[in-house]
Amino acid sequence: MNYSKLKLNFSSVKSQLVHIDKTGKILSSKHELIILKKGSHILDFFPFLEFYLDDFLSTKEPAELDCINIELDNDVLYFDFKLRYDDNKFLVYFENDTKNYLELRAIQQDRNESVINSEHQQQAQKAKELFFQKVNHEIRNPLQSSLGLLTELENQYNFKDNEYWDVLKDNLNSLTTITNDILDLSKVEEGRMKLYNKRLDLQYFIHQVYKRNKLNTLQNGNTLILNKLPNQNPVILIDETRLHQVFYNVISNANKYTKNGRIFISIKDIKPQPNNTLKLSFSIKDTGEGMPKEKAQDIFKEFVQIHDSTIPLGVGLGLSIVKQIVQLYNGNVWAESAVGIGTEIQFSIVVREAASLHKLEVKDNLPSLPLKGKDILLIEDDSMNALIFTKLLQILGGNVSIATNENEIIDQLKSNDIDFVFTDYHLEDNQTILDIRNKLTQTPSDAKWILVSGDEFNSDFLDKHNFQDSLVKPISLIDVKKAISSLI
Amino acid sequence: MRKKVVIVGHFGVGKTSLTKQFVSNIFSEKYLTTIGVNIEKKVVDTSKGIVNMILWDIAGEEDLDTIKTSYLKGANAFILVTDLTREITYSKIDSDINYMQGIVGNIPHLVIGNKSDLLSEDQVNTITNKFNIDYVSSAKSGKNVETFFADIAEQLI
Repeated sequence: MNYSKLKLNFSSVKSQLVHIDKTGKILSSKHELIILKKGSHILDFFPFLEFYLDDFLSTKEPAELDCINIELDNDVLYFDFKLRYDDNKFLVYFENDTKNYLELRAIQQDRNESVINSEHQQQAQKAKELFFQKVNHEIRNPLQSSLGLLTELENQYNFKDNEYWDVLKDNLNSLTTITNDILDLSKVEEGRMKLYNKRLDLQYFIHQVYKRNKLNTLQNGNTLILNKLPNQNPVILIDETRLHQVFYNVISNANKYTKNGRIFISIKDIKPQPNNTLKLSFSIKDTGEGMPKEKAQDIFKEFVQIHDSTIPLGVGLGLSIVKQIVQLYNGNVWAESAVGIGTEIQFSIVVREAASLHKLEVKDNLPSLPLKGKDILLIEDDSMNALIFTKLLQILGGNVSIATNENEIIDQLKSNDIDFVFTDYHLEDNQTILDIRNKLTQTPSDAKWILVSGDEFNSDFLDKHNFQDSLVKPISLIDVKKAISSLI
Repeated sequence: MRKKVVIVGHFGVGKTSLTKQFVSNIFSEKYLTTIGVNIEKKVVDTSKGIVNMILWDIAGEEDLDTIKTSYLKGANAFILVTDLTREITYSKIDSDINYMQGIVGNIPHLVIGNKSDLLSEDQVNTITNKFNIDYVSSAKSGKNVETFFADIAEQLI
């Protein structure tokens, strides 16, 4: 375009009316927004009109072109064009509306940027969810199955003091912990981590923490010490699994950085709070290598490892998960440390106190074969999981039969007097156990149903679908014992 | 031979960047949204002769059917530009082409997947295997920009 011919007058004139003949030659031009020479052709100035002019001149049909961008001296100006046949004249009307269009552009710019950002966030979220689904199904499940098989092999063969065996087991355990940490952290970040609060005897729980972690710390030559507990022993409402995870992660961290030392577990304080709640403060203190004081708070950030160590110590998620869980209980976690002296991690949580008249009866006196003489139906379509779970149930004395699909389930329930059904949630052909149970109304059974899944289900869901309890994979012997202790 | 080529697509996909890269060999990282229509021209020498391409770079919208149809009048070809990093821009290519053909008729057209420089080759292949994208391009690096404009120019003769 020969824009050098254009001369703009912004102050006094905004629009211009041009009278052209039936060939497009300029006959007259009112106003001087742009100087248009009489006798020249309109396309010499506005060549883009070529796609409209012939039709207009032949049919006299009006045409409009809004917001044509015209660049002049690196500035973009915006013009509206109208072609009209009026009063026996072919007219071209155009208007410089740059000011309004610039305002419109600013608004659209904001909107577009915001929409694009939102799209990218949604896509990132979708990709993240897909990634964690894959981690769950394609990494965690096989790892857990492998760990189960390893335990089974350990029971059958004597691998004690076998160095290769220990390395294999440590590596699998380490991979499983890292995978679980990543999945847990993603759950908290996305607000998907649900807390299933149940009644818990605090002192009993602390003793369990001590028992379960004692052996692990011994492997590093450390002694785990449970300090004298306070006289108070409240029954609290809390998600026992998550609280144990907090202790496990903090003690594991202490154990990593302590060699041949001591690790102390303490209940520091039990303080009544308004609305029947308690603020519980705990401490895990070690005599390990410690860290610079100023770095102590960084250990709760994701993927942070303060220690400059050459041994593989995980990915640095354990303590950030601790922080997230503690925060879910309106609590706080902090660390004090000194190089060469050790580290103390303290955390507090606020929990509801359960009614004191209903102290928990902990069934620690289960018979050694609590499932002896019991017929158990295990519904599991994954052969490796079925193999491991069967072994667990057999260790407890159960007679186990396995079903993998709808027909087998119905056959088993009809032909055997089943006492317990342990069932996976997702089965073959995209069926869930709920789909199948809906079809079982004509197969009466007194069996107690226990749902087994990689996901957690709340008590409302379990009640609604008539499950007596649920277990979250990976299943341990302790989990199964706990479930049946309340049902036998 | 003067030919009008309209460039359409979702906002922010890089229509103006591709046009500027083709016409002036310039690229700016800064996103500046287009309103209305920006008209450029470039003479392209093809094996069959010279084509004087008038490129109508039309402001992008979330849906093609909100574009002013007056801009499309007299189009000899159209280029539908998508952004490979935003699925929403290429998820309904077929219906977008149908819509365009309903207005401008069965004229030559190309579908471009732009911003390939932001994705890995595997990611790009995954998208192009699933969607009808004729060329992947990068206005930033200039990848395939000359090529697809030359292709459409050849189709115009």
